[in-house]
Parts: sequence; C-alpha cells; structure tokens
Amino acid sequence: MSLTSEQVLQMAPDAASASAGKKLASPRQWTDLGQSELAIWGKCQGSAVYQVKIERSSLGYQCSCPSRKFPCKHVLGLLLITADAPASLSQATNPDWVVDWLDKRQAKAEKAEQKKTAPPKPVDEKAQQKRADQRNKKVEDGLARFDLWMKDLVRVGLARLNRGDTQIWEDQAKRLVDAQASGLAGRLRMLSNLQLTTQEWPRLLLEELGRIKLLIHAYQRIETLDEPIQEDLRQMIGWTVTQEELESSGEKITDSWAVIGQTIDDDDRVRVQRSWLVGRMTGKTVLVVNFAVGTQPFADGLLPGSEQSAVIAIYPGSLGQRARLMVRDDSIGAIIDRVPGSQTVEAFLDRAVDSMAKFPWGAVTGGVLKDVTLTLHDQRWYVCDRDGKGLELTAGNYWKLLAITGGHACDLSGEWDGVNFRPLGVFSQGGFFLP
Amino acid sequence: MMDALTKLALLGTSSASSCPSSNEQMDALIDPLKINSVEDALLLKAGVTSFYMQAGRDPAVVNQLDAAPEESQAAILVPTERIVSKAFEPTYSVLLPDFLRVIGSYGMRVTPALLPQLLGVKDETTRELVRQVVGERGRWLANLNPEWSWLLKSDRRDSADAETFESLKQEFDHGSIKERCQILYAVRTKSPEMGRTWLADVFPTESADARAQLIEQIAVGLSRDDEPFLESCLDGRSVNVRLIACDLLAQLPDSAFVARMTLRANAMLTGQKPGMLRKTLKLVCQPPQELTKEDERDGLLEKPPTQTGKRSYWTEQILKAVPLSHWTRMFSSTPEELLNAITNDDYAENILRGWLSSAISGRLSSADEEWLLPLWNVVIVSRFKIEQPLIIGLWNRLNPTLQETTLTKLLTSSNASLDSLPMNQLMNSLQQPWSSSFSKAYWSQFSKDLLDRRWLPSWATTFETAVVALPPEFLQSILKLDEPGSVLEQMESSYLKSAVSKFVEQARIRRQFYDIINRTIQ
Repeated sequence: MSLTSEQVLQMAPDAASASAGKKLASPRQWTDLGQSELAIWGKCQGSAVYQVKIERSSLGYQCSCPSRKFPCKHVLGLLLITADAPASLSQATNPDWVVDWLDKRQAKAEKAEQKKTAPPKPVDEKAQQKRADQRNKKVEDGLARFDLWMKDLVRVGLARLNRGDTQIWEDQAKRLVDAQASGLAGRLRMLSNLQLTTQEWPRLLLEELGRIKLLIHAYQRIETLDEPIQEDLRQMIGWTVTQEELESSGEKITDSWAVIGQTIDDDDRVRVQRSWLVGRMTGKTVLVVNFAVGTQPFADGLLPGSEQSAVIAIYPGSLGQRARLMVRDDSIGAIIDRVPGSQTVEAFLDRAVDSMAKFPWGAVTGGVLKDVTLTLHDQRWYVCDRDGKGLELTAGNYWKLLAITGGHACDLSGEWDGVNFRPLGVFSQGGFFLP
Repeated sequence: MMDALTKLALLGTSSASSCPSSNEQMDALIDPLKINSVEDALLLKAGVTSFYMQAGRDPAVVNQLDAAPEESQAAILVPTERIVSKAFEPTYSVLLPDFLRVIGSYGMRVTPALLPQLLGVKDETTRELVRQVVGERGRWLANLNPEWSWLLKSDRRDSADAETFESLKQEFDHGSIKERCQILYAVRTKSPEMGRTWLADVFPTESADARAQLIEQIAVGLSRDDEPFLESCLDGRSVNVRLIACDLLAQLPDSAFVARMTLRANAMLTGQKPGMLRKTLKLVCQPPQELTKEDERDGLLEKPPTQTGKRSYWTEQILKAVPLSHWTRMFSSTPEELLNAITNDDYAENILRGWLSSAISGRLSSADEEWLLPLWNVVIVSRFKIEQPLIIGLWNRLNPTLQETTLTKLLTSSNASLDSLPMNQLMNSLQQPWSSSFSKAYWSQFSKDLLDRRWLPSWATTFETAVVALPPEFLQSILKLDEPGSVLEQMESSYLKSAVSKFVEQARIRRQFYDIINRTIQ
C-alpha cells in the first residue's frame, strides 16, 4: 500500500476529522505500531487505549474508539503515519487482536460468498410480478404528476420563481421519492440553487426541465425501446440493480484499475462519491458510485491516484460506464505509469458524443486527456492539446495544477459535462496530483 | 435557438398560441410526437435543443502558454515539501520564515505545488525569503497572475541597470501609493540622488497624504545632499510633511536644522551645581513660554497631543533633535551623571523622553552610543510610564552582544522583568538563531521556573519566538516537555497546557524539517 497524505486526507468525513487525524500522525503518540502483508495496526492513547487496524487490500478498517465518524481520527492518523513515516511501522506477524478481526472479516466475506453460491430461494413469481406492477404504477403516476407540474411552471412563467426559494424543488423531489423515482428526485434537487449561482439560470433551468421532459416521454414508451436503453432509463428514474443481479448478469472485467479522479457531493442527507477508474490493459473508463449516509464511510476505499488489480462488474445498460468493484486482488499502490486516455481533444469529444448518442441523459464523460497543457485566456482556464484545440475548464482555481505542470505537456484526468471539463487530477513528472 | 424558447418560458405560455421553432432538424424530431399543448412543445423542444447543442460542441481554439524555463536550483524533496506545507496551517505558520531561510541558505528551491500558497504570502519580510526559493517556475507563474506581480517588481527593484530604472520610473509615475513608496525606497537604495530628483519633480502636485508617505522613503541613503530639499519641505502647509522632514533633518548632525534646535535646547536646559561643595550637577529645564514662527517652521507645534502640556511637549520635541553627545560635551559629564542630574526637575519625564527619542531616531555617533546602556538602565527601573515603542526602539539600538548580555541578566537576576517588560518583543529582536550562551540561559531559567511553577504565563508569551530562535540542538529539550511524567502532566491551567503543547508541536515539526532537509543535503 503506497499512499500519500493528500490521498488519506481525502478519506476524512469532514475538515475537523482531517485536522484531528493530522494531530495523531506522529508515531510517538502510538504504541505497538506494526504491519504485515495483510494489515497495518497500532494502539493510540485517547480517553482509553484504542486499537486501530486496517486491511491493506480493501482499506477496510476498525477502531475501538466510540467515534461515530468514519474513518475516525485514529484511523486517519494511522494512515497518515503509513503515508509519511512508513519506517515507523515495524514488520511483524499479526497480533492476536488483529488476527481476530481479520478472521471475522474473512468469515463475513465467506458467508457472503456462500450466500451468492447458495441455490436461490424459490421465488413466488406471481407476488413478484404484482410488486413490480404496483411499483410501475406508482412511478408512472408520479411522473405524470411531475410532468403536469412542469407544464404549470412554464405556463405561469419561470420569472415567477422566487429567487432563493429551494423549497419548491425540495417538495417536488420528495413527491418523486414517494413515487419511488428517487433517481429523478436527485436530479431535481440539483436545480434548487441554480437561481443563486448563475445569471444564466433561466436557460439552464429550461434545458434541464426539457431533458427531464424527454426522459419522462421516453419512459412512457419504454417497452418500445431496446433492452439496454430500458435498463438505463430505469436506473435513471430510480430503480436499483441489486448486487445479486449485478453478479449474475453484469459484464465482469479484470484489470489493473487506476483511480484517475473522484468527486464527493454532499446534500446534507447522503454523500455521493463518484470515482473514475481506467483499466490499464483494457483502456476502459468506468464510474464507480458509492453512497454514504451522514458521516458513515463509503463502502469502497477508493483513493484518487491509487491503482489496484480488481474485478469489476458493469451495470446493465447501453453506456457500459457505471461499475462496481467486486473482487480486489493485491494491495493498493500509487499510479506510477501513464494510463490510457484520449490523444486529442477531438478524440475525447468523439467519445463523449458516442456516449450521448447511446443514452443522452448520462451525459458526463470521464477520462484522461493525454499530452495536454493548461492555459489561461481572458481569465478563463482551458486544457489544450497539441493541435491547439481546447476545452474550457469548470470555473475554479487551477494555479496549483499550472504550477505543477509549468505549461509543459501532462496527462489531465477529469470529466466533461457537455459544456466544461472538470479537472480531477494531473499526471506530471511521474506523480499524480489533485487539483 | 435557445433564446426564443427561454424567453417564452420566462414569460409563461399562458397567453402564447404556439411555440417558436427551434430548427428544421429538431422540429422534425418532435413533429411525429403527440403534442397536446404549447407547454409540451416548449419543454420537448428545449430538451432536444439542449442535447443538440451539447452534441455539436466544437473544441475552442486557444493559444498555449510558453512553458516555464528550466530550473537552475535543485528542488527540495517531497518529504520536505510535506513538512513545509504544514507551515501554511495557522498553528505552524510561525515556522515558515525559518523553513524558507534554511531552504534558501542551501541554494535550493521549493517544489512547484507549494508555489501558489507561497506567492500569496502578504508579509513583506517573508516575501523577501519567498523570493529566494521560488525558482524560475515561481517567476513564470507570477508573470501570469497580477496578484503575484510583487515578485517581479521586487526583482526589478533589485536590479540597477538603466532599463530597469526606466521601467521603475513608469511604475513610480503611475502606481498606487504603496507601490510608489516601495519603488522610491528601492531607487534610494541604489541611487539616492535619482530618488530625490524623482520625488522633487512630482512633490508639488501630490496630495499632502502622498507627500507624507513618499518623503519617509528619503530616510534611505539620507545625506547632506538631501538637506536643501528637506529644508524646502519645512515651508509647506502640511504639518505631517513638515514633521517628517524635521525627523529626517535631525538625523543630519551638521544640518542647519540641528544647529537651530541645539540653540533652542541650550537656552532651555541649563546646569547648576548647588550646595557648598558644588560637586553634584543639577539640570534645570525652562522650556519656551510661547512659540515663534521660526519654531513652528521647525516642527514645534502649538497644539500638543492630548494629555500633554505645551511646554512639556516642546521640551521633548527640542531635545529629540539634538545629538546626545552634545550634552556630555556641554556639561563635561557622563551620561549617567546627566541622567542623574535631571531626576528632581519638574520636566524630568519630558527630558528623559526627549533623550530617548533622540537615541531612537537620530544617527548615532560613537559618543552618542555611550548613552544607550545608561538610558536602558534608567528606563527599566523608571518611575515614569514609558511607552513600549520607546522601550523597543531603544532596545533595537543596543548592539546584539549587549542585547544578549542584558537580556541574560534580566532573565537570571530577577523575573520581575518578565512581567514588567515586553519580553517576547525584546527576544524577538535578538539576532536569530540565538547564540548558544543565550539559549542556554533562556532554557535553564525557563526549566527552573517551570519546576517552581513561577512566571509561567509570562514565559508562555516567549514561546512563539523561542521555537524558531533556539538553535536546533535545543528542540529535543522542548520535546521532552510533553513526555509521560513531565511537569506538563501535572499542570492545572488549561491555558498553560495548551501553550506548552503548541510549543512542543511546533518544535516537533521544526525538528522534522531539519532532520529531513539535512538528510537530503547529505
């Protein structure tokens, strides 16, 4: 496991935890620090002596402290020591308290595996169909109500919307959640601050309402569409694909997966972590989405700039973009070689348009732009390829990236939303740097 | 395409009979759909148009930046970068100048990732250290960001060729007042005459406030050549400008201004030797009763600051402009004798202040310097309430060796000084790192007081200075404060605990920095 302190701090649930973790990042505040091929461990003196252990392959962790933040400051402290002072972790055999924990994890994994391989329970198909019909009806009614609401909105005029009134969107989002269309509800919640954040809000709002209108229209004739697009639509509306479904039907790809960028969105209820992964051998770019409630940890310990051999399963659908980590093989390392990506901006846009043609609502395309430079023009930031073709970057401060690259060619990872490219990391001088 | 649709959506469709067309291709996509209303048409057209625009977006054509030039200095390594980046956290910010000084002393530069934060530093003293370590990449970046242009301006100010002077003159003529002062300061450093000429050319047209700020820069490279210009400033209407010009003229012992003030002082301060033996000198101060126009031209103000009497104020103003050695010559007495001679005078406090001001603001000859230690010895036990700036000003005039021996005595003899004097500021003005002997004295006295639990709040005020001024070999001693069983554990005051913990944490980071950078150099 080769981590940087920057990567570790990305794992912190909030700034206070990161700061508290840093304070515990000194080996002298720890006893029994050690490491083996499987795990890292240590004891930290707080109100009591807390035992902290971390599994290398998955970055799974446990701390005996009573904190309800995950990871807690002790786990962050131990990871920071691993990153900054690895020599202070002596090579040793796993102590009993670590062995017990690893055994329990192993047993849990085996149980889950058995559950997967166990013969499926007999399914009451009639009841299942009834439940599906009930949900379909609920979703259809919910979408119809929302469609009516949109029409009312444009009938009276968007100018009537009160600036800063987010409740109107929240109310509709709640109704969509009640109608079991939570995917659409999430999309709607993103509109709530639009009026406050840009002067172009009328156009942007109308565009998004128009896209939702098309989505509802498509859903209303879903049975006439190809099976992969049906899958995409259902997931976009809010149907989930269970782990069992994914395991049984999802395409599996084994590769060395480089985490080329990550975003975390927080809407006060649920945190959404979106990680872009690129397969070193397949060149495939996938998106792994994790959810966490409050300060709970994300299920997959994915760190930007890290690389790990793993099997992933691709969610059903036309894009083949969203994926889930299934089996992780070796311990995690840092990305040290260049990863596959687009050689020109044109090639990257072609890829984005291909995705759009398949399923226009899943419009974000992630990937690596190779041999590009950052540039500043009329106070706007651009990424520019060898041919002088560029994409405007999402508004932000990219001075650190410019300092690191010095105007020289680099590989820039990020995501394209159809309008702007959002940098998520840069590979320069053999290292990966966050913006 | 989108504008007409957006306009309709903003105003509302209630009174619209139809929806504007987007374009033929898109209308053709929507036409086959069963559209029941203008609202349906508007929303569907908006959706299709938005996808159409997104799919057809061309890349922009942009000019690439010229890449940053090659570096000539070696960069610090990543572990050092991590430690240096900690100095941007509030707890460790006190360490940043020390880190930069050390990196600069090794002729190294920082890694590029640190540059934006370093170029954003506001403190002028730290900026000078930043300049030494940012390398070519830092200068390349500063050229792209107007907020960091101070770096290039500072570079230009240090260079002294004709081309640079020409570009500096442009900036001097058009810059902000702060920038103009910086430029004038720099030019005076290289060519006092050129600086004076620049200032004299624009002086009549400047506002009183700008004149006051600009004329202060004449202090750099001040000489008799500046006297005519400064004398001319005494005829201006601005009181501030006049006072600053007087202060500057007072630094020229052979100036006509000093001669005029010395005549006033001689008339004011007279010596007597009362008693039978006529051995002990007594100085009597008789300040003027009123001011003449000439007095006012020389900066003596009719209106004194609040809570100060006119004559008291004039006494201080007159004595401030007279070299101290004048009095030793005039009364054939030592500074100690003269300081003793004023004790019983009604204006004793004002005479002392006047002399202190002369010691602080004037240029000191070696004969003047003989006054410094006697003045210090009087000030620290004085019954008068002497303001901190005067105390610190006098302290800064003592030479480094004298400062260290004086402070060592203060630390070891009686800790009363810890409370009555601004110890942190006195320590802060010592040359850093502290000498081995002073560091030992500091640490042993602190350790002793820590055990006795004496004066600890006062000691705590010195930690910020000590953590960077103590030589690296003392850092281990600081770290021991936090060890199990140390006195810290038994402390009850949370303020002290927190101050000592911060002291220890800062020392730990500083030590890590030295360990890592020394390994790198080896």
